[in-house]
Amino acid sequence: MLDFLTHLDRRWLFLAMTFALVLPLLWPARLPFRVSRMVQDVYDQVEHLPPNSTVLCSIDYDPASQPEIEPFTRAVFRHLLRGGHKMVIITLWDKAPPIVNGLIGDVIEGEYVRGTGFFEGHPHPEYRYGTHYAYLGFKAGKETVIAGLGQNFRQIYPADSRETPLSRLPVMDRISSLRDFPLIINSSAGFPGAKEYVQQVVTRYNLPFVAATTAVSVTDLTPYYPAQIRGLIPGMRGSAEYEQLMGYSGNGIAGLNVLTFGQLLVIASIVLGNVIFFATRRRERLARTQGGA
Amino acid sequence: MRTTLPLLITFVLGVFFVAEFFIPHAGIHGTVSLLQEWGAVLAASAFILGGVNVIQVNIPKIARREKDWLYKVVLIVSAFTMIVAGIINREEGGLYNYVYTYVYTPSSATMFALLSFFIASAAFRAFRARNAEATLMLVAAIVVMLGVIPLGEWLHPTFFPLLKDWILEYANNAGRRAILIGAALGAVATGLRVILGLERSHLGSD
Repeated sequence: MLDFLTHLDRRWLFLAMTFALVLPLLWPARLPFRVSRMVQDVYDQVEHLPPNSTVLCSIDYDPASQPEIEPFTRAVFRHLLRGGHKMVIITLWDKAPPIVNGLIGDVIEGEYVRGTGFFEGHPHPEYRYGTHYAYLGFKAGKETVIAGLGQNFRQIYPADSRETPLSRLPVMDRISSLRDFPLIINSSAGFPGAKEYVQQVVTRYNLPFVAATTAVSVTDLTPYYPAQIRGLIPGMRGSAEYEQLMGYSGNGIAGLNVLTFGQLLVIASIVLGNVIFFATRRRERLARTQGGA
Repeated sequence: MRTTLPLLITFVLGVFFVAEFFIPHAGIHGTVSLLQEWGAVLAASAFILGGVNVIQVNIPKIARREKDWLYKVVLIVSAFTMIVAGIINREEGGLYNYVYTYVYTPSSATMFALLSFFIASAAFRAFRARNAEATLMLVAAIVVMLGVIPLGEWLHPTFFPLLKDWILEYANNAGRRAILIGAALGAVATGLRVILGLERSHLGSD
């Protein structure tokens, strides 16, 4: 048995991982979970916005991180729309524009304006592009862009993604720098992202800033919480918690089920690997002792 | 002159940007905004340089039929297709969005998802409690993993979540903040050396 496990073909592990990831998707097993303080803080920041606020959403992730961060982004879009707030959307990632277009098409124009999905039966045709929300597009320059947005928003973004000058967008009427937003929400999968916002503008101008990030980046951002980053969404778990606060079960909660079984297999692999390690070491020691005798 | 002029520009701009942080004057901020806009334009032009570089590096290798030259053909053709699609047809339902949604997105997600298989394999083969430090890391990893998933709360409503939070908020933050402050001090020292012309590696010399 020990020899079999020592020389276990790793393809068996791959097969086990396949089952661990696929089965919870087919048969979801919902386990209850609590909402952490970091996620509750993000929710509270959005919940306590003054009525009719204009919020900046910086969507900085690519398809690789989409399953982990997008459930939160969709949830927070719904949260902002439910509160009747206005949204200005930008991205600093060159691979993100189609993702942002998808979010706007699905959540704002699809669900909220037409009254489908989360807003089923409650259409809001009065919520219009330019007046209530705007997408300013991708801007190259990484940290330089963030620093520039802190100084003069319109110099960095003179027009939106449709080449309409900002002066013709009523949603931008009172916006001249990042200081004019009552909240900045950053869905960040890496560089440039939440860390660069903190270093370039959040600390300098004391901006109200919350962020969502991948689980692997959480340890990079927790040193800035809660002083600079006032709320933090840690990966898939954070997305699931936000969905729970919003009162619906979406891809975040479905993903957390998958994560549960995947993590369990990893833990089982660690434990099994160490059992084999100690058993082999014990057998070698016994063999040496008997050989010496 | 080839060395002096870049050093002078670096010094003047370096001192200007440091001073700007402490001078709340509209004229200064306006100049900084303009320079930052120039920076954004320069960064955008880097995309063109990157494209030229990809062609310069890969076309000769394809011409010489070097090892894996077919992959380089795929790279050039894919890049060219996306550039053309992006220029001529960006609207919803267009070729650019079609390729992005149905080729790039699944490929990218697949590459990332493969990690889960390798993590399981690595956990089985490499994550061993060989000494006290490795054991500590192993136990911390298991506690954090159990603390993240709902099963940890099901096993014990407070133990795993609270211990996970403690590890992240105290042990992790203490180490991270020490590294951050050390790196920040290093960045200040390096920045000063660049501004004062003591560090010249960015000019192409040692």
